[in-house]
Amino acid sequence: MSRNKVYLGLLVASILAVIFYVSYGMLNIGKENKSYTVSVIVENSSSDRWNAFKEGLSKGADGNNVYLNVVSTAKFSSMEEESLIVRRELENGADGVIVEPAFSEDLNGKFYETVSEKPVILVENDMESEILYSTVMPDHSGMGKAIADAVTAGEEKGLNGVKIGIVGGNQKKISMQERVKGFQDEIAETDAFIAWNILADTSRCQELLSEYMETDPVDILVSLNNDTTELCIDYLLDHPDRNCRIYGEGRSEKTVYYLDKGMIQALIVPNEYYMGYRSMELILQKLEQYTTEIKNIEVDFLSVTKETMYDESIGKILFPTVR
Amino acid sequence: MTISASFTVVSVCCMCFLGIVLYKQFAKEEEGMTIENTEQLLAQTAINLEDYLRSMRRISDAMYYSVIKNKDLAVDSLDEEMNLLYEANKDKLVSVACYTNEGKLVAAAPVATVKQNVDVTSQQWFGDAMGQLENFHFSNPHVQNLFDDSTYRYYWVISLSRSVDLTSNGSSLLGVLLVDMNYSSIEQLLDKANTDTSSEYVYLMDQNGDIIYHPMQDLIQMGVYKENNLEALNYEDESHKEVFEGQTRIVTLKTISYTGWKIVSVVPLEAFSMGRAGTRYLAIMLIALSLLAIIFLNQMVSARIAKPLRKLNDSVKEWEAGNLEPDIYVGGSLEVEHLGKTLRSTVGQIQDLMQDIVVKQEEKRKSELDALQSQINPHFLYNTLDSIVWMITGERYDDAVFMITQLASLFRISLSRGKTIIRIEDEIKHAQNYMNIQKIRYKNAFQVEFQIEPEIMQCCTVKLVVQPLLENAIYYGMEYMDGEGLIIIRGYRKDGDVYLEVQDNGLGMPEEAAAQLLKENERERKRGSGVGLINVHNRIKLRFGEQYGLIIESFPDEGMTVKIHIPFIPFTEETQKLLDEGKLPDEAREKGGQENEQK
Repeated sequence: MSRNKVYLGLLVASILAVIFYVSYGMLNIGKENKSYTVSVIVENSSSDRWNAFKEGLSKGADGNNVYLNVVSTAKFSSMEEESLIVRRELENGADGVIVEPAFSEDLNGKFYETVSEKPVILVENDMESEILYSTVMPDHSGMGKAIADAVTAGEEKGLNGVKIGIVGGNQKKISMQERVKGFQDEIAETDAFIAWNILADTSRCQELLSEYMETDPVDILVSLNNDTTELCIDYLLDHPDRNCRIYGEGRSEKTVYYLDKGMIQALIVPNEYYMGYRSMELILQKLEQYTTEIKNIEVDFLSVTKETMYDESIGKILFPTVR
Repeated sequence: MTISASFTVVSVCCMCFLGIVLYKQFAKEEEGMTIENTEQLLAQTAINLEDYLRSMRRISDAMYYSVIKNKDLAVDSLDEEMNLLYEANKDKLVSVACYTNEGKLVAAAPVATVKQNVDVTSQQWFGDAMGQLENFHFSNPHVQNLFDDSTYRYYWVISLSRSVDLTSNGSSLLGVLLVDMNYSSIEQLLDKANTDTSSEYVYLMDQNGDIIYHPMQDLIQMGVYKENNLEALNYEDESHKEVFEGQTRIVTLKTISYTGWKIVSVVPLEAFSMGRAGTRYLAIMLIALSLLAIIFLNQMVSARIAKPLRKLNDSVKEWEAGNLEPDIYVGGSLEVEHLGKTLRSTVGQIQDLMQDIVVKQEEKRKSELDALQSQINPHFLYNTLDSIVWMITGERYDDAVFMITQLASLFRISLSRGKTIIRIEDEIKHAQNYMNIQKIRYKNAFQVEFQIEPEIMQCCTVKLVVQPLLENAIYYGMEYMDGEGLIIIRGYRKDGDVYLEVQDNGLGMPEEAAAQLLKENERERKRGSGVGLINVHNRIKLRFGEQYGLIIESFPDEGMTVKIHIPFIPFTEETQKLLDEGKLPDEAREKGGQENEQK
């Protein structure tokens, strides 16, 4: 075979290879933008406290061909109940789930069984499990300390002789345990006196709060999550004669409103818009790159008072959902 | 490089160049179209936004010129008209309110509880209105902090404020009219420009570069996303190409009248590139398919042109290699066909010319040989006639008669009616006549023996081939010999051929000298009948072919044997005629051909 024929053969082979490559590319143009279904499972998902989080999720999903499914939930009674919902979502075609674990202890490894294959991102709360999950959440211990600092800053007359009651909420969550510990560690440095701790489920908190305030009223109520902060607000609305101030965590419209009204002295607000955006970004990263790398993202938080809540920088985080 | 390869390389280069040029041109036009579309979209969005802001100013104007200027606050209330105006535009408005220059609320719609401890005079919109009295003032988006909403709602608004003259008890005082526009209306308006799923987007900033609306506003606030708004503030209202965060993009600006706001469109070049993927694939596919088609076409065309040329070239090579009758290819395109025909004609002419030369040469040689053949040695004739005279004088009439008879027979056979080919029988007879005469002349100084196989007597031979051999045997072998000489003439058939052999026992000669006798340049006239060995040798070869002729065997003092080698061709009139015309009968030709092959 002459050299020219060899060159011609190589040229024709190259052109055919280009044609095959281009055909493959043309056929896959539409497939490049693969769509995903991501389910979000958080406790009591209809609560307006999740508004910022949902907006963050939506922004993260925008333009990424993600069908975002925020599962309607009420309060979870057990880990099994939440696991069941997660499993159902995955079986129904979800490519990944973003979960707020209502219970941190993975009893019997049920949660592990559920999510062994598809990506799972934990938000707001971490889990004690045999395997590690990627998490997107604030520094809970830091939030506890920030509340303690807000108490110290907010009490102009000092904390000497000031009685504090802690409404710590559901202690089956690691996040809540860390917040309580963070607050206690920080407040222990002051002269304040912690009269009592209510470390119970929200449903029990209301009853215990009334009972403790009757038997041992305090000057300051420290609430460590949004639900318990709203409970404290409700208690004080029911008992306007109580000269009591609230410091706590919260981000619902109600808590912001009563911060504006002056009932809450300081509110610690996690940037849940950011939490939603980054959790969606992270799960997409796992879906597109098929990575199992464990990555933890810390979400910042703000300490807001009545005086600072309309500041431009704070307002854009505090009121994202009300536009 | 062959024609097809040249065609292919040129075609590939041309197609690639054409493809790149077309793609670049297409990309440039697409970029131009996108910029044009973006500018149109931006202009349309700006018109919508200006319409919206104009309607807000009209609300403010209506409230001020139709209501406030006609009311004395001491006796009249603004509430009814303000509520009517609000209700008519409440989808765009959050609230309308009027304050005195001390920040006291005069009227508001919708009716709401004023927040306690809120100092409106410290708010920016109030300060702007009181600062520049004659102007409208549009604030940046902010959360309204004026009224208490028991449903816990907070509103993002853009405040349109202006100073107004209020009348109370006939005296005039300064106030501020506030129209809080619902920010979501502007957001929705601009969201419409951002519905495209590509990476291009539109944002809005004020005259200071502060972002009023951006699809990524929250992320910008959190530092997750960055925008080049402060740089864009310095751009004119047209399209600009910039590099921001490592990304090249086209930024188009449009200033909104009255407010000084700038609406900005950002189109990353990446968006062009992604959008062009399909076009790029299509262009590459078309180029590749065209190349493939051209290559095959080139092959076909070049084959059509090159193949006949190659065949013609092969014919010429065959001719060059020595084949004098090559099969010249005639075919292909008209030009090549004409070339082939011309070449074939030329080759034919050359062959004819060569044939003519051969024929002429042969004729020349034949005439020369005929001339040689016809020569009679005068000395031989003189001696023979002298011998006859002496015989008659000596009254040896019988011997004279015998001599004359032999001489007559000799001449008769020599003439043979002009024929060149005779029977071997006649040739032997001729040789006998000659030897009889010579024996008388030489007084029987030598003996002659004829040993001829009868089988060959009726075969063809060239005439007068034996006599020159005998003449040589006599003059070289016998003349100077002391003892009794012997000349033996043999005729026999061997290996299908005929051999006539003249052997003498004379002096002989060295082998090398004998070999020189048959060479052309050694040819010289000898004594005797006048016809030399070389002539005999050439005549036989001329008639019967190169493989025939004389064979000389000679050794000093042992004598010499000269063999005539001719084909076995029975004598008929037909074979005689063919041989006389210089042609060989088929049998002889076939045999000659076989022998040539064996050689």
